Amino acid sequence: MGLFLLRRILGLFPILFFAAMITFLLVYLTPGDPAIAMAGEFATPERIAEIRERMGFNDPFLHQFWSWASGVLSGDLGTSLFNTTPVWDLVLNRLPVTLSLTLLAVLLSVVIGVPLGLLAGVRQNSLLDRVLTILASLGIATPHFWIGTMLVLFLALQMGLLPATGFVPIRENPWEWFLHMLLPAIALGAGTIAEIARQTRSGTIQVLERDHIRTARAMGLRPPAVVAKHVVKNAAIPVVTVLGVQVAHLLGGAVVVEQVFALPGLGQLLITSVLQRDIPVIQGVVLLTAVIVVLVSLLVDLSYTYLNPKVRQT
Amino acid sequence: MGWLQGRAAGLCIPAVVTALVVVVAGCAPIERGGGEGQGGGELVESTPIAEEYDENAVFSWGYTVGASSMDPHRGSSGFDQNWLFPAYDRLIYMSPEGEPEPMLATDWTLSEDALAIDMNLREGVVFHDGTPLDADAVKMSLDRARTDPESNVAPLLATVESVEVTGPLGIRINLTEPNAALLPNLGDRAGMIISPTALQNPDLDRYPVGAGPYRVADYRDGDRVVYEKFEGYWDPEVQRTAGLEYRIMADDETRLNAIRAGEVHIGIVRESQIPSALDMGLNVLDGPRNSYYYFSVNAAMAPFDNPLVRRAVNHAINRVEIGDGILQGYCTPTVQPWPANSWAYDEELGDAVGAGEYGEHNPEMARQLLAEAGHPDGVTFDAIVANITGYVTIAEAVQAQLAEAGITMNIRQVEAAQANEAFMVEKTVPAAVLSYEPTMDESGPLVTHYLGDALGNPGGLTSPELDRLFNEQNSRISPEERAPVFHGIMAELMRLDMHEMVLCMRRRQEVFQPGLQGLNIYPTGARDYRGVAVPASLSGN
Repeated sequence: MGLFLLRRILGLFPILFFAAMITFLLVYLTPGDPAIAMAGEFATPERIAEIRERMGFNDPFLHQFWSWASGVLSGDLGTSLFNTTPVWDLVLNRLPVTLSLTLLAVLLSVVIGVPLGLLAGVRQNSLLDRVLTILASLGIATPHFWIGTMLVLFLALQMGLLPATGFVPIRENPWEWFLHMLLPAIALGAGTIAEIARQTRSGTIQVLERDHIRTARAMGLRPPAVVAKHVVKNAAIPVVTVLGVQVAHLLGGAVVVEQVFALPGLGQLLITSVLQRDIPVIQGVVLLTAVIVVLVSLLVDLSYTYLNPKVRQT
Repeated sequence: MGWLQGRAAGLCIPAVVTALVVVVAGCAPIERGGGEGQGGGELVESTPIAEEYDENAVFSWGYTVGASSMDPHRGSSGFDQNWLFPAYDRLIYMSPEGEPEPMLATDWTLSEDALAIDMNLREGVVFHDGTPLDADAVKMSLDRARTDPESNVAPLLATVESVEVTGPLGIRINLTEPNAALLPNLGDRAGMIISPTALQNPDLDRYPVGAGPYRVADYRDGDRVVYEKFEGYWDPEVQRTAGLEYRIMADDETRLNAIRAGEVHIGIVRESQIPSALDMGLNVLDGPRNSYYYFSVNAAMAPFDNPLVRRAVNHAINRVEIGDGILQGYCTPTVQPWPANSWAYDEELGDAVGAGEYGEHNPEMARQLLAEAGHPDGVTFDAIVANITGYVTIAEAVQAQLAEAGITMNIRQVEAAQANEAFMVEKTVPAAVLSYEPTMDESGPLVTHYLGDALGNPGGLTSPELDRLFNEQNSRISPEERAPVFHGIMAELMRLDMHEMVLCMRRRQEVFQPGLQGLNIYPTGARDYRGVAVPASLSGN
């Protein structure tokens, strides 16, 4: 187990290095001169040239990359080109918003998706199963922004049940935090709820067809107990895998949802930085996102050791 | 087979039911309203102050972008001013009528040779940190604005040679050459006076220390700025609210939703959103501003190095179709880079889009001009446009209009910042569809777009007469004296077949909740809510 963990952790470093390299290269190759944005509305060619020289934008690519990468290795993501705020501070200020949105979306996905999937799998081919299957397809096919817009229109504007925009930090008022995050989390998590439900349904159907389930029934175990004791854990492995993959999808979807609900998260920071060509911030956000995705992948792998004892033994 | 039919029926029934639900839901009318029923919204240019309002209310505003910096000298965006107005008083206040009025400076006089401005400063003014305002403080702030290596407003003070202290509350600004735009520019970021004891504050880019009616209480990056009333402000009459909350909302629909839901009091909208906003019972603050859409060419690049080709393109464009049609009347067709309520606007010339006028839409004339220019089969060129819906729509309209005259325009959509770069800085495309955002002074379009060395004039089209006229208006200080010179400048630009063809003059439009008081339109486009008041019905108290 310890060796397994060590191997997985060591494997993170080359992945993160390539993610950093690709991120830097993409930003470097993107058209647009940050010096022009930094010089402002009254820019002169002289001022632009002075900024380019001062910020090192004229240096060769590898020199620029090494300057940045060596800072990252020592924990310094640099400073925003447009104010004196360190990138770390900017990112850490926004991270709670995106994390809470994503985690709430994951929680909803599990709390809603798993029971629905179990129900559909246990009552395969029933009317309930077919309705849930159709709804799941709709959930996967419908874009986040449309769901978000519809939720705002009906639940916030028409019925006045929930706020339409904004974020309240949880430490300020946990209840207001929850009310402000509920609609965005539903909009973001709808597709994941549907995926989890479908995967749970498939897993449940497969497990129910196994011999040990037939044996358990034959020995008089009641259906709820069969599901709880034997089905859930065995059906969970593919669900956990899907959940791990969905986290990356949710982080990407958060960019759109944050715009619709005016949430000051990493997605909004990324959009502003891209438009401004604030290169250090772009790189910082993308790198942090890559770290989160990789760590989630590690957690998923570790969860297998709990769900499947055979993994522990290999 | 029976079981298959049963299965098919079992699948069909929920599918049909779901489809019916979707269709019915989609067809059902959605009741809109700001709590007041359908319609009833008004277009207004200002709202008066009523006798009763809630002094404990917090006024809220939603805008597309936050400030690039709360440091007025180092910020890089022209939109920063909106976030800075509450915290920083300026030397000059540019009124809603576009007139310079006293603020931190109570009066000023221009020397006879127009090379020095003497100013008297207001007595009894205190900065947010308790430091009193005096001539030394103003000198320090102005010197920082013009000499700090990271100052982005230094170009606005480029003609300032030095700032002298002539008394405890007196300064003299010495100029290297006459500059009529200096006073209006001192009404913007260049004239925002920072407390001398705060100039080295490490958090000045987030927590301003000025002498304005409100100070920043909470700066939440990417979310909002919360201001609280500054007790001790010299003009308490304009402090009609207990505080302000300015929020960042990039998405247009999100902003409108927030206003509908009562989460903000006012916010900007796009032209296309106005009808639905009015239908919802919201009011729209609507008035002219010094911003316009334009089609511009590089007069040093073929085919636009030929004035006949520029003239042909000018006549091929249908400004009325763009302003009154596509933009639903919310953009006034015109050839002049100033709105009709500006002192620089030549009333005799007017919009000049009629028959026989400079901006006449005449595809046949355009074809003849092209033939004269040696292009009987038309011309083809690339034009760059920002990939923002409104701009692309206008560019496509221009493309279709030019096609009627045998001109083929290929549109390249790129990001907004890249559009400006490619056309103005890198000069890799001969044409662009962009918009001009106002500066404090009417000479803004000339300095930034029309003069020979302007960034917005990549081809450097100019004439000695244009330069002479510009220098002449620069030596005068009052709008009355400058106006006739501006009319002469407009005539010279038309004679040159100017490279930048104004399409239509935009309007400032903001949706707000009915009942909001003290709103005004500033022709500079500034969003200064000085003196705004919130009635109890909107305050939530």
